[in-house]
Amino acid sequence: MDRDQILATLRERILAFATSRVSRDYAEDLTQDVLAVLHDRYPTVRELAELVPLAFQVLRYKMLDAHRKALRRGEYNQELIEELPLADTGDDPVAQLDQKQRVDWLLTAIAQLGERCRELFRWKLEGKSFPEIQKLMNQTSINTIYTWDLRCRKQLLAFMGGSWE
Amino acid sequence: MMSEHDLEKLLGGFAADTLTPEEQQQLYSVALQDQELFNSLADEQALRELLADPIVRRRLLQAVQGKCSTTDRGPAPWLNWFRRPAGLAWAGGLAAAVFAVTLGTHVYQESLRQAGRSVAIEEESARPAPTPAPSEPQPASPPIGESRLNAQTTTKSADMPGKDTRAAKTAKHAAEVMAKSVEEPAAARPGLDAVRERSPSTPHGSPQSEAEALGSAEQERASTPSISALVPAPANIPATAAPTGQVGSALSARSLFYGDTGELTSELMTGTQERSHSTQQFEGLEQKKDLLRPSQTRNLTGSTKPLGLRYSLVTHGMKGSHDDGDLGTSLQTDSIDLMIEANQDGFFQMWGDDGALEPHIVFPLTEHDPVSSRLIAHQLRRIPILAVYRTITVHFSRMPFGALSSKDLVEMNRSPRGQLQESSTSMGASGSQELAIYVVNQDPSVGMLVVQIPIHQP
Repeated sequence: MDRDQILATLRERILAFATSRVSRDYAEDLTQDVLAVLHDRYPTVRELAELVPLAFQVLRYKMLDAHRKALRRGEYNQELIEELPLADTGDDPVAQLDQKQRVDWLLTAIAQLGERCRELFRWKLEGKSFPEIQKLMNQTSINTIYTWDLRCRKQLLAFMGGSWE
Repeated sequence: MMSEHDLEKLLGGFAADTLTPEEQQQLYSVALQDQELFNSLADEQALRELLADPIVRRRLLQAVQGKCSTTDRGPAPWLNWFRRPAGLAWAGGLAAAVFAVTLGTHVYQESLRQAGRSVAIEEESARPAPTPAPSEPQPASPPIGESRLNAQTTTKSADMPGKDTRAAKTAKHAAEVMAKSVEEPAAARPGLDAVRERSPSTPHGSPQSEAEALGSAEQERASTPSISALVPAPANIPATAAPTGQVGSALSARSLFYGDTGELTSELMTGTQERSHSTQQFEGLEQKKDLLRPSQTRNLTGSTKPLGLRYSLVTHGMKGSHDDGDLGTSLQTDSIDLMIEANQDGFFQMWGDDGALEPHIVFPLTEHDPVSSRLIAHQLRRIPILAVYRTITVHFSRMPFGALSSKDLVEMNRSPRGQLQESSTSMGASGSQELAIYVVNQDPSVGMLVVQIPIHQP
């Protein structure tokens, strides 16, 4: 599968995903923006294993950016632009706070996990792949590790309230 | 090669960015074809971004390592065994089994104890009863009263298995007495009826009212099962209740007088009286009013039995002999001793009426403030009385009381409602006959008993 084919398929998937989250017109604009970035900024990225995660990353940034813009324009709550403070060139405190909160929630959720899930999560944080974890946990089948990881992930997601955001 | 459905298992590796190249290839290829998997990967991107931050990753790793290290160096391996579902199931099952065995043992021991008690009761009831009630003539009772009584007795006995053995025994005995009274021939009744007519204050001697009286007495016993089962009966009851010929209903005044709940009242009253040894501490009309409130009295004494008095008159005259005081005859003597006994602790006053003056207090005599005197349950008191009085009125109450006005006296004397009276003749120690009168108020909630004793009839 060459780059154009990948981008064409990605466009279809991204549009469907965006449509499920925002309006159709806005989803079209969003998809176009993502593809424009991939086309203009990353023309050298051609591999599927690189292009797809990159597309996910750009898509997320674009959605967050659109959300911030809508907030800034007062689409959610109509506030006068004169009353808004000037933009800080430094780190976004809202983003910082958002990340801090998510980390705290994640820590709390991890603390509620069982011993095996915590161990599995530790191996993954240390960068171990599933086959390596299989050996570390003395399991004969890698499917066991996959299943354990799927269950642990669902458990963690439930402790986080059903969303990573 | 994983199926499309199984590729969802790689989502965890995608977020942690630990997928092998083969796994990535598989996952992304399928994600481009499968919208659901694509959406899942897009959602997982938030966590992937979070875990991509090295600072966050280090924090999480420290947190997980800290937890894992504490669990690795856990207190004991057996504690980990308990954390597993199988271990928990085993522990729960074991606990349930231990609980069941303990409960079973306890129930078994309790049943053995109850069986032992019932055997003891049967043996005791098999023996000839020392009380004369079965051999005495009994008043007639219609079948309705009998059936009601039997039903009550059965119900009471079923309600208190093995708890109040004495109460059960008494109820059984009463039922037997009632049953025998039905079987008595009618010929034996005229004399009894005549004697009953001699007791004017026993209009409640109808079979139904007797059954009700028994029911209320049993109810009183049943209301205090544990205490009456533990406390033995007063030792002096057989001495005072050894009549050679009894008159009146065996289930009325006399049986109520020797009811089983006296011990409870006595104990409760003893505690009260020890705190108020001197009756002069209780003054004023307020207490008099309190005495007339049955509900308060009931609260003070808890589960009570009816107030009852037993009295007899011993004369000391010019003849110098202890003639028997008969209610129907006049007593031409110098002085009389009133032998008075209560079925529970209380306080009493005696007022005399000689026909000439206003009724005045005879006992206790104090100089300034007439107060009530203490009367211990089943303790015989001898009160000397001058023979000039026509009637002596005894006011007996569970609680001490002070001076009574003439209005109070008239009010109390007017309506002695619900009082049962019964006379009983017994042989005294010197061989002389003693006529004892039992007066009991049927209502156990009534806190005061007023008894008028005719002394002299011109």
